[in-house]
Amino acid sequence: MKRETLIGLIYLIVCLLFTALGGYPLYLQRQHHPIPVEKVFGKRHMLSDWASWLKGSRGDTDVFILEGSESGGAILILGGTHPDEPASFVSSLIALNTIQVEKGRVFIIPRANASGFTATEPGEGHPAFYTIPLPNGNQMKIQFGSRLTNPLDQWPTPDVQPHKPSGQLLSVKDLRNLNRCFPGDSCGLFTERVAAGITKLIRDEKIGLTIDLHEASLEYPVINALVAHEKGLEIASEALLELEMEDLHYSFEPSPKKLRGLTHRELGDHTETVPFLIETANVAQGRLRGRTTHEMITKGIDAAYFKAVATGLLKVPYDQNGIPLEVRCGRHLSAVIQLTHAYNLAHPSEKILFTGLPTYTELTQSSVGEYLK
Amino acid sequence: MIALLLMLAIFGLLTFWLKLPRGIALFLSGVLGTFIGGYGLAFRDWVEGMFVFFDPILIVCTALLFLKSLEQSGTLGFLRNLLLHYTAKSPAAFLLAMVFFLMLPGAMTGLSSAAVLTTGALAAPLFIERGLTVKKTGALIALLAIFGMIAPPINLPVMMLANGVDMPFIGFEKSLLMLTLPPALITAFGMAYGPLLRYKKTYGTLLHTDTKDRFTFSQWLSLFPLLMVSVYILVIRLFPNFIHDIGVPAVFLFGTLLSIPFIPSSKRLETFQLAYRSSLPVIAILVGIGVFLQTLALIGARGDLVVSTLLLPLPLLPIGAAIVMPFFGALSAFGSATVLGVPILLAMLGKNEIVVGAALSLFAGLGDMMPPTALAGTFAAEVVGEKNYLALIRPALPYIAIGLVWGLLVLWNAGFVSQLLGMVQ
Repeated sequence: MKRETLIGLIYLIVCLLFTALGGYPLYLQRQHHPIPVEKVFGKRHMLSDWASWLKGSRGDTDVFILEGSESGGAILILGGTHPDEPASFVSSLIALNTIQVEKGRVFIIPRANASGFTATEPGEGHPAFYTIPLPNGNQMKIQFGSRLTNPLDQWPTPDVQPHKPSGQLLSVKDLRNLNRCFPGDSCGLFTERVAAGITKLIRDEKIGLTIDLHEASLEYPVINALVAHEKGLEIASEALLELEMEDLHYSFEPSPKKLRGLTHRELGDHTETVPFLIETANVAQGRLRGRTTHEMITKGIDAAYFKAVATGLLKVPYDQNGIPLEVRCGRHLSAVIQLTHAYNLAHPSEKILFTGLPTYTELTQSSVGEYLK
Repeated sequence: MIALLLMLAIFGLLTFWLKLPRGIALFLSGVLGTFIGGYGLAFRDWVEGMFVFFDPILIVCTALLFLKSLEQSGTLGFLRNLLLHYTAKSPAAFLLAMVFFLMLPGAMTGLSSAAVLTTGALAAPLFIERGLTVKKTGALIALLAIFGMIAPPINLPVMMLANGVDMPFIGFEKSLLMLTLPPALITAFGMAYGPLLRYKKTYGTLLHTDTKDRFTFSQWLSLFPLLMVSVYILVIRLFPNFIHDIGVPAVFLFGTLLSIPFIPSSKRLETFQLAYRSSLPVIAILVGIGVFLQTLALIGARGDLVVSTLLLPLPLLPIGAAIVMPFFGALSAFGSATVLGVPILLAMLGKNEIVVGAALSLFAGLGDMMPPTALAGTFAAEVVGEKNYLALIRPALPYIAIGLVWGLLVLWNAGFVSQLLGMVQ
């Protein structure tokens, strides 16, 4: 055998080895895992029940409807718009496990961008999964996911394309970001089709209140914040006052009119719903973070961010205790409760009443796992 | 930070001592980095890292294929003669045309490599034949391609920066033009005006011979694929609302298909083989950088680097950015924009964010000329036939410095610049 052939053969074997050993975990990651809840109080649907164009596609996702005995208004809780923001998904899971609706309907989409849960962003070094300890000693395994749609589901993506309908130019990354693609386009790119599905659900079900749960890195200015469309200003002020009473501080951010494609802008402009977006602080998605571990994701502890306190750039207080999921989910769920109360005050004929959702205080005094059993 | 230094040391050792190709050396440094960081056999991360630059890899492969097709079909030679024929009387006019010509593909695609590999390859012989050294020609092509990449309408690093701080990609055009045109003109005239003027004085014209008589109909026809590709790229950028962007690689493939009838049938297979051979080392570099970046993030070294940069006092942060961002840009201009650019921009909130973001994108972009990878330099070396890409860096250094200083001046005076350009924020 010639020397070149031998070298070529060795390279080929090494390549195959890498493909197999690296590809298998990526293949497992690409699977859609069932929503990890044992018992759901409501009905389980798919988004394609409203948006037929998503039927059979990897953009189709679970929609849970929890109905009260009395008719009333409707609220949509959006989790997992950005899958790499764990408190968003976990909060919606807690809601699914605990909420008991008395009046009206509660819609929960835990994985708004289901495709994004099946990949991590190359170059970020994120783990494929993280675990949450449960009281029975087991671990709940959750896909970490990417901020963006899996490129295997949307590829190729144009380098630049105008947002529909505003015409604002979106870059290749924006076009895979669900929270830049609203109100969506049923004939557009994969992510636009998912956004269009959610928008259609909101229209068809006459959702009065939409709450999109997010997280942001600690240096990002819009953090521990409530972002509101102009038609929700009154509700936001009322809710923020109530949250202050619980000693929970949120900065208030009006939805910018020039930044297109976001839930709090487009859903407000193009549907009847009153949209809000809530941000908590997540070290695992920041660029200042050290190694991304399960602990960092669930407990929010990171030595690099602790060192970064000295830069004065962090927008939230940070110490060695970190910012655990209990704090982040607690903030989300307390805000959901208070926004719903405020919505009820503003819309007495479309009241939504529910119980069981843990508050910030309850969550921080126990553990997230307690509410996921 | 120790992990990062160790990885760089391994890279240096593998490249300069064991003489391994840079792509392989970067890949192995990334692989060994996971052991340094305590992750051991991180196959998933290594493979994921290989895909960081998947789209740019496709652009490079298809651009090279298209370029080789144009070369084999004789289109490049014809176009070279054509350009020269109409700008031969004035070195200044010739240079201005070349600045526009060399910056255009980068401005349209947001990629310096696309510019170097297309118009760069077309322009290289023109400069070399007229007295510019091979090294200076390569440096000039690479630098103008980088300034083109940063120039409007498409600047991918600034789009990524804007995305990182939730800022719409609007209103950047004026500041990007202001940042790129002056250094581009200084670079072009500084490097090439002297030799061109001397050539003109000696021969009375920039032309070697009268080429016009040799322009035949079939040669004009061979411009068709290039024309179609240029028009398509231009149209999708200028009218994105009406024309669907099928992606730069698809456009280049389309152009290649169109150019096949113009290539002599005996040369067709050779064309593909040449393109394959040229693109393989570049693919290796991009794959290697991806693995290196993935490891940096995985083991936390990236965070260390960013925090250390941000620990600089705020007044010194722009200088820090002008030093660290190009160096990180050596691994990836896009990586530099997102990893370092976003936190630095957030640290400078309060100045005009559009001007600051534009300046930071210039710093990141100039990383394409920095060793160890120097992507634009590497491609330019290939285009001009220089084996050692490092030879191109030396003549480029004063102009890189001019670009950085100009960027710094704009950054420091962001408020004044925004007023000057009539930008209201």
